[in-house]
Amino acid sequence: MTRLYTWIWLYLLGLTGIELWLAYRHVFSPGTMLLVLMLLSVVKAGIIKNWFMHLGHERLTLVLTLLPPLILLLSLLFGFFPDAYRLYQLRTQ
Amino acid sequence: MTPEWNGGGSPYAIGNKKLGMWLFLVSDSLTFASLLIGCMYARTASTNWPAPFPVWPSIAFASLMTFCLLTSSLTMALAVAASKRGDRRAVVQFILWTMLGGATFLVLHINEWLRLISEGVRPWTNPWGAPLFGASFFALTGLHMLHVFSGVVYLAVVAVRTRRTHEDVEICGLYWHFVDLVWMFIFPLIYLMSAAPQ
Repeated sequence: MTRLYTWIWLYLLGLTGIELWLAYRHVFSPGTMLLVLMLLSVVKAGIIKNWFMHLGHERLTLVLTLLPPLILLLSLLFGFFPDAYRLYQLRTQ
Repeated sequence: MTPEWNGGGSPYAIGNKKLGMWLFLVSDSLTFASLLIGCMYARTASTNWPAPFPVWPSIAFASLMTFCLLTSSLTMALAVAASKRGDRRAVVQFILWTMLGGATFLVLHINEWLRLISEGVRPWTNPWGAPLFGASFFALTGLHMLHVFSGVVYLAVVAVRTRRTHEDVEICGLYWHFVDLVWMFIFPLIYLMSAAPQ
């Protein structure tokens, strides 16, 4: 178990290192950077959720109770972004 | 008599305390998700969102804080594994290491707050641009710091309790890993996306 957890810790540190390098070298434009960082964060969150919090070992019923509210909320909140963009355009005109 | 619906007795097959913690964590993740999206909304809508975090000291310290939280997550996972083996001594030792990681995180983060406050950042204004930057930064990181602080207290309570069960250690582990998981989103969105150009 110690070996497995140490490997997971190293993976998480490695992914954080990649994020840092991307920010340090300003590799991408802000839009692409956001996308790449969020992808890496979702991977990291998935690793923590599965191997540290053991959600993968619980019954599927629990997963199906916990995840839909989060996905629903995120989908609803993303609906605000066209409005944010409209505000941005009003301010730049 | 065999029940017609097998889920009727215990649909989740976990204890009520653990289910309670999971439900709390999901509602807490909704709170953090809303705050993060709110921050991104303000950022998208503004024309002069500041990028005030230089590589030294801000990004360097934030990375050190990430390292502290990730390492404390490792020691917490080891505490839960030790608890499963029934090694009570190792559980307390690993929980103490976890608390040390959390406390170091808090000290570094308070230091970061003080630095920004001394540079003139307030929830309603800052020297660089969009005034909402301060509000979203302090609200997000403040709520997260509050979680780390209550996590350290929670870990201490679990460590000193003599009548703790394996489930108690596992549940406080869930909470601690969640605090770490949330930081995995705050760190890139707040710090890395606002890294000052070289």
